Amino acid sequence: MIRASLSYLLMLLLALFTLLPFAWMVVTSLHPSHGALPTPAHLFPKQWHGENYRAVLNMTATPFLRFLFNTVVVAACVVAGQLLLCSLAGYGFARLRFPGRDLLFFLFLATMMIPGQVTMIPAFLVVRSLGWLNTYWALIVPGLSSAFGIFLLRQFFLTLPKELEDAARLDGCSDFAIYWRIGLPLSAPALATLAAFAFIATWTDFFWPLLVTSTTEMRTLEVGLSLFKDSFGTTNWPLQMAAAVLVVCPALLVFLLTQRFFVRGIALTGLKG
Amino acid sequence: MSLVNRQGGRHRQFAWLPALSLLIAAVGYGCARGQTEAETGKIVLHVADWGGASSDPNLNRFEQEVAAAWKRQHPDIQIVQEHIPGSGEYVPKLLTAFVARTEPDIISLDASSAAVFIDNHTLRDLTPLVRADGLDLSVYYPNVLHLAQRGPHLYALPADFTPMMLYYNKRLFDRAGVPYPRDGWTWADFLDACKRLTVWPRGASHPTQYGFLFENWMPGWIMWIWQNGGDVLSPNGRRATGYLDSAPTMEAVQFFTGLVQAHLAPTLSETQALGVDPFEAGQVAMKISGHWNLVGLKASERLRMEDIGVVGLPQNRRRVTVLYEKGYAITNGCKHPREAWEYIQFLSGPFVQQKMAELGIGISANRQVAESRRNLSPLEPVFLDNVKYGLAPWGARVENYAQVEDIGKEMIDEILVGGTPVRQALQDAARRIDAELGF
Amino acid sequence: MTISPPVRTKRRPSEMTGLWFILPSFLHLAVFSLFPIGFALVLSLYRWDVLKPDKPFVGLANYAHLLRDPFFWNALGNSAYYTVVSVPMGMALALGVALLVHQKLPGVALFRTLYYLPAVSSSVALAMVWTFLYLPGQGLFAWMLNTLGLRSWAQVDWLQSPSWAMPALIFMSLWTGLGPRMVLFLAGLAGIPEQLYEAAAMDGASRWESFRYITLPLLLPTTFFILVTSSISAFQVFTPIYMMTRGGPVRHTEVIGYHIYNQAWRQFHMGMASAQAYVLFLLILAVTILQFKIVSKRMEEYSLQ
Repeated sequence: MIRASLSYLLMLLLALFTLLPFAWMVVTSLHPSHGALPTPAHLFPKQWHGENYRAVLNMTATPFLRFLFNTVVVAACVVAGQLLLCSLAGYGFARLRFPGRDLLFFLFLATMMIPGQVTMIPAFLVVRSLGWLNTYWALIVPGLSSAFGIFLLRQFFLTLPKELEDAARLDGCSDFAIYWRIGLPLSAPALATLAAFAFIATWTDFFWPLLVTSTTEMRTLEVGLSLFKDSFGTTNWPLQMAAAVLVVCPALLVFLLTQRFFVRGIALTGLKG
Repeated sequence: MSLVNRQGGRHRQFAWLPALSLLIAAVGYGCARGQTEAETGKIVLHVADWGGASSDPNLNRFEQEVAAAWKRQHPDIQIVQEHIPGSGEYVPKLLTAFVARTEPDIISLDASSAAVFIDNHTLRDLTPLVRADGLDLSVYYPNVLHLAQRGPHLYALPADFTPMMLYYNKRLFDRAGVPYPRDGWTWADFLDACKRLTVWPRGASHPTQYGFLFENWMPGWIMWIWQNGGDVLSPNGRRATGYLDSAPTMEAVQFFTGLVQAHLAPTLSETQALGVDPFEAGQVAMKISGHWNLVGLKASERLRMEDIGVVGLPQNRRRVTVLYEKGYAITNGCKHPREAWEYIQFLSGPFVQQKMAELGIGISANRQVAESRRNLSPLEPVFLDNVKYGLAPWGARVENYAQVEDIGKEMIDEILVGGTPVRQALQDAARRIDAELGF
Repeated sequence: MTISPPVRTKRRPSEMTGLWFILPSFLHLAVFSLFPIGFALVLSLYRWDVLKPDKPFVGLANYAHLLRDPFFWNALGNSAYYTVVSVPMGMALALGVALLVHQKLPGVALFRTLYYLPAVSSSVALAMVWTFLYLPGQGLFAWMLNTLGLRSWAQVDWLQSPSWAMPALIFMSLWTGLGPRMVLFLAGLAGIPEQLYEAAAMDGASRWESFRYITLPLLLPTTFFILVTSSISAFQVFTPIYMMTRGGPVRHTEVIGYHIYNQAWRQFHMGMASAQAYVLFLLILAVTILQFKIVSKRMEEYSLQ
């Protein structure tokens, strides 16, 4: 009994610690733009200054709605791409035999260990020579497939019973038909997990969009937010916090709706020693 | 087939996802390049400038007047202004745009970073255009025009500029009984004034009033080194050893860091404790700054214009100051160089120059416009008469100069905060600069 | 003459079909991973300033320069400092939290979700909030210190202080990195059979003893995985430094990820930056192999029991 209450106490304290920055973000965003900053003694302002949000959305130098649009487009395309490409590859590695299969899979895995700094410089130059800089292509194409996604889906496809496959083959189905009509539908939970991961990863990606976008119209939310901070000579914290809240909310929402997939997804990958 | 049919229904829920994404992508691709749509028939010129969107009503009015005047003269050429905010972000963001081939047509060029753009082959040589139109370049101050020149090639038309001068608070001088600085005054005069203007009450932890405000900003202290006959780099700008660690440079650095160490100027933390502008608050008697400072001081409630004096920098072996300048350049990627040339001539021409000079941020590079404003205030002639002593900043000639400035700033911090002896700090810094530049 | 059935010399169809399945991803890998890895090595042998027309071959000059470059070593040192402190602390914290939420108490799932929030939030937004929290005098932490009576501590400008900037960033990384590590530990904990604990309890083992002799050893594979992945990502950390300190004050928080970014995308020395990236890669490889050796030795010891 004591152990349980102690555990709850600790968890509560930790939860407080986790939520504190978020709460502070929201509280500050409601304070007047050039007034005093909140302290726990003066937590809430006399008036809630919701106009900070409107001010942020109206900034022409950093059009957040455009950033939102860009980010949605990129995230949707990347998720669609990964669902297709990673499931194809994952299925191939898991259930089909072909020469060099294990070597190739190891190759995919090994690339996960390469630090980003090594690949991003040449990737940037490749994208530049293709004329893709500052277009959606540069933001989407590099994310269309991921070794992590292939790994995840391969793990899942390995768990499918062979009998399903054998039965379908007896019925005369091609490999692709088995994948498309049996494997894919059964892997819906794993696909949902990958979609959740890929969505959040793309949504919060900062480094690569920072490199490949150079005009305001093409920036994503993360990059746009970093530009927002630059736009002020003296920092206007309530406005900055309002902008931060706007950027954080959509991803948090998606996470809360799909959070069970995250736990399961990480479990799927982590169990391999 | 029954097995397949049962599963077939579930897979259909995925079919729409790729289709929808492709649709979004297709729509998005239509807006892919993200350039402002030109109104039909017009040529669009993108002009980049630094500083975020301004809240200063005078500046906004100026921009509107200029835009309106241009529209009257050239209704077929549309100007799109891009402000790039963030201190220190202008050059990197522009370079990124050049790399991505999304650079603007015209850029504002700061003399202290001109070399970066010129040496990276990003700017168009204006000399053929000057010759074709027979533009008379003698309307500009020669040493100002020279800032954007490389031999016979001219890369920018100058707009406005300023020499760095010394501002002093007349009221504090009166109160201490110190005579105002004379034109041509020396380091000895300056040091004496500092001592007499520093007020340190008995028992206080630090002075309540300082003689001089030292800011660790290399563009603001390199002049001391020049005045003592030293320099930070070799004449070709490739080496620091032998120059940064030479005796004259060492003496100069010793002199101005000594001001802080002798408590005649506040330390960094003391400056931060004093608030935003200690000079305006009347807590320091002298500071070094450019013409732009007048704008803020004019709006000040604590300091009246009559209390402000300006004088050339105190001299030692040489009498010099440095010029900081802004000009307009056309990028190599500009597809309408003729129209861009029209626009920058307009910006650099007497009409806009007159309006810009009224803002008071800088002195017009156009000699006639600048001289016509000589008697509008008692301070203006002092600025004008010191222009001839102005040297070009290193950043106009050396591409990697920003790194030299970073190392220079760290060097001063090491001396003032870290307590490193001046000789050692200079030698270390010289070695580090050589490593950066020599490569 | 007997008639023998024709010998099939063609491969069975499914053997080649597999290759078609992985082809799109493989092409993607080739273009965005394999080719870049090779091209980066080539780049590192050139002086490649993107905007300048001439890009001469300089052989190993880039490597020679970076070995003598104090700023490069400073960056590596900062990264080592960051990694060596943040990874073990972060893992210990995550393990503790995982043990806490592993219990079958009602509502525990809610806490699990909560602890994961920072990991899915915009790193830029979080950097802005934490900069705000760290403000001297006005920030939340300053307020807390003031309330505790530590007035001089409340005035410390954490992110501008040469000695405190990095610890401040490390502290923040504990907060953001908790979620994924915790979940991985949970997965590892779930793999430990209950009977082991029951048997140990019957033998009279204390909770600490069952933790030390059952939990820790059986968690070793998970621990190793988290150690390796955390270390690799700690060496590549970028966004907090970019948003909060820009490598300052006086390069005390300039980690190698930021340093390479500067070389490549601020000064556009892509050849030099690639050389630096390769050295980083070799370093990470060496560290990972070292970690692997240590852990497999441990694993051998345990499986001998």
